[in-house]
Amino acid sequence: MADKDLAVEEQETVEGEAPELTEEEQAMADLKEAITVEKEEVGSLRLKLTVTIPEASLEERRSEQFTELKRDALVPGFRKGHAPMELIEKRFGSDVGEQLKSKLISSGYMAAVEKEELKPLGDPLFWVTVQEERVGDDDKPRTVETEKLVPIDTALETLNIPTSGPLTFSCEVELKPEFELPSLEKIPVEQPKVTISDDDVDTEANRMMAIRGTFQPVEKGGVKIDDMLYADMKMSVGDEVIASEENTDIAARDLRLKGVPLMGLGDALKGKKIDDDVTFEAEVPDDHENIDIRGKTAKFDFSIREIKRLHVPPVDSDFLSGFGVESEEQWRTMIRTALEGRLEAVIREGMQGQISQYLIDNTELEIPSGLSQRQRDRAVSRQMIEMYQAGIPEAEIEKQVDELRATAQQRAEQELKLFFVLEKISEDRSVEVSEEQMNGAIAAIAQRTQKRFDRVRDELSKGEGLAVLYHKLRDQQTLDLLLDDAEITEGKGPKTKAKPKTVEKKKTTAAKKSTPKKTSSKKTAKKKTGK
Amino acid sequence: MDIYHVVRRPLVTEKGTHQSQQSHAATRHERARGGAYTFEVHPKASKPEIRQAIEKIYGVRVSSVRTSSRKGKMRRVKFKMGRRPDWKKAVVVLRGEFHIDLF
Repeated sequence: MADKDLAVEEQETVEGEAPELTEEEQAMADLKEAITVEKEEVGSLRLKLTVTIPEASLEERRSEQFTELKRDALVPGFRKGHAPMELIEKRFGSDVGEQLKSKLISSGYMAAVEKEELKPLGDPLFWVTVQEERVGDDDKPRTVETEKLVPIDTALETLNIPTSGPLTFSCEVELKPEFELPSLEKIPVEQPKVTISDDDVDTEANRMMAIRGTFQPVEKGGVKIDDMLYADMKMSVGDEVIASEENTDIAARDLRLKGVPLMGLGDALKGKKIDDDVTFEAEVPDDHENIDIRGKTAKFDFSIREIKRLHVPPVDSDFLSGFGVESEEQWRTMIRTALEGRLEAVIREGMQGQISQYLIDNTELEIPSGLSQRQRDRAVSRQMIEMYQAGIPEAEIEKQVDELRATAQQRAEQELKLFFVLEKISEDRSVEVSEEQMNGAIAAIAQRTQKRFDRVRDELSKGEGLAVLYHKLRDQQTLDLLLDDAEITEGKGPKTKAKPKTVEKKKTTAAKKSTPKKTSSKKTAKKKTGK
Repeated sequence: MDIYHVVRRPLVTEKGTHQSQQSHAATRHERARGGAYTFEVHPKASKPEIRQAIEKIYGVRVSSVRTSSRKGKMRRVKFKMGRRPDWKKAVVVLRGEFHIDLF
């Protein structure tokens, strides 16, 4: 009897250890077996994968797809499910082909990642051959075939399933770095002493006035820094015209145009008048999407069509009534009170900034050498969310983002390093962000920007906004946890401004971290130099 | 009458598909080529005209043609009753060695 019971128990355990796979899991396991993957290192932490799906697997998937479709397809003249397969294939072939293609390529990639036990970072980029129209020396457009790395949705438009033979595609993927965390116990943190000075109130007052300003056309005089221009733009490398746009809007400051950082564009445009032509040269970065022009010098020709300048409203009774006050004195007092109200948060941010800096300085971590455009964009969108949360108006965010895009490389590297470290800590400590916390953060942005909740959520969900917000909240919680364990000492630190960060600050602090803490990072850097 | 006016379109239906797979030479276990194919034809087309048209268009040999005139269905648009035009159906039986690929 007892033996029998034991035998039954054993059988149950064996069954428990190897649960039956669902249909999808089984299909993935089969695909993993069938595919062949070639790996090639194309830089540090960057792999090129060439995946080949054999013809038999393609056929199997294709017939599965059609059999599934046959069951539900409604074809005139036939009862549901009774239309012949040949007719179904002819009628729905192209649609099924598209679905099959996206399913095969994405599951082929997933299977390759699982087969090779890779830890990819973000989405892969696919190699495709595209035809581009370019203008040659003789001003005649010609079609050139180039190999390009593109995201999956663009790749799907170009890649095709062969009518016979295996399907082969190549993609590049960045890998998560392996590293060890520094000691997280008693991280030394200095609590900054923060006071609100008259200068801080002035800066905040100026910012508020700028928010209410409007761009108005300038008839006379030349371009000044931060003016908005309408201009015809032509970008060329050597004799080849890469892009040409008419009446495009550009800002007279450092910005990134067609993937090329134009540092010093503001100075080049300064003083120019309507109908003036300006030529600006800049080096195309090594990670530009167009491989052929990487590292070359790009020439930008601008013809100025219109100049617009920000007009700040005067501080009069109309302006003051908008804040519900009667005199400038009252307004400034109101600003001071608001700044003082934010002090605690600023101090905490400052301390978190120190922890971030500690993590960056004390972690040995190899960052992917060719930091991709996407990662830089991610750093920029992260920054945008922070600015949204701080209640900075869109016009000002635009201005700061322009400059950020131009200078984001170093910042993105720092941010990426911090991202990996915090991700690992949050995994170790099981930090998670709940749905309520996400909604709370979105509601806070909505309140500050005076928009509806669902509109803010929609705007965020269009790009990578929600993911960025999730990571930001998770990092915040992780830093809070670390701060609780930190060794805090009273600091004699310099005064800190309780105002939203600006790009100038970022530029001055080369070795600063990139998370929410704008002011804090500045403080940290200042202290470091002081010591 | 032009042959392309005689034959208007093949009728791809469940019944037609089934008939096309049957044949005088078919057995219970093996389908034979040949069979009956259904077409919409000109209401005034005669059986010899239909035979000739099918043979020329599809390059096959026709064994027999059966036709039937169909009355157009009644259709109502708001309060007015209307009628679809009458039409003629032809079931063309091919000789055993021929076959038409309709889709």
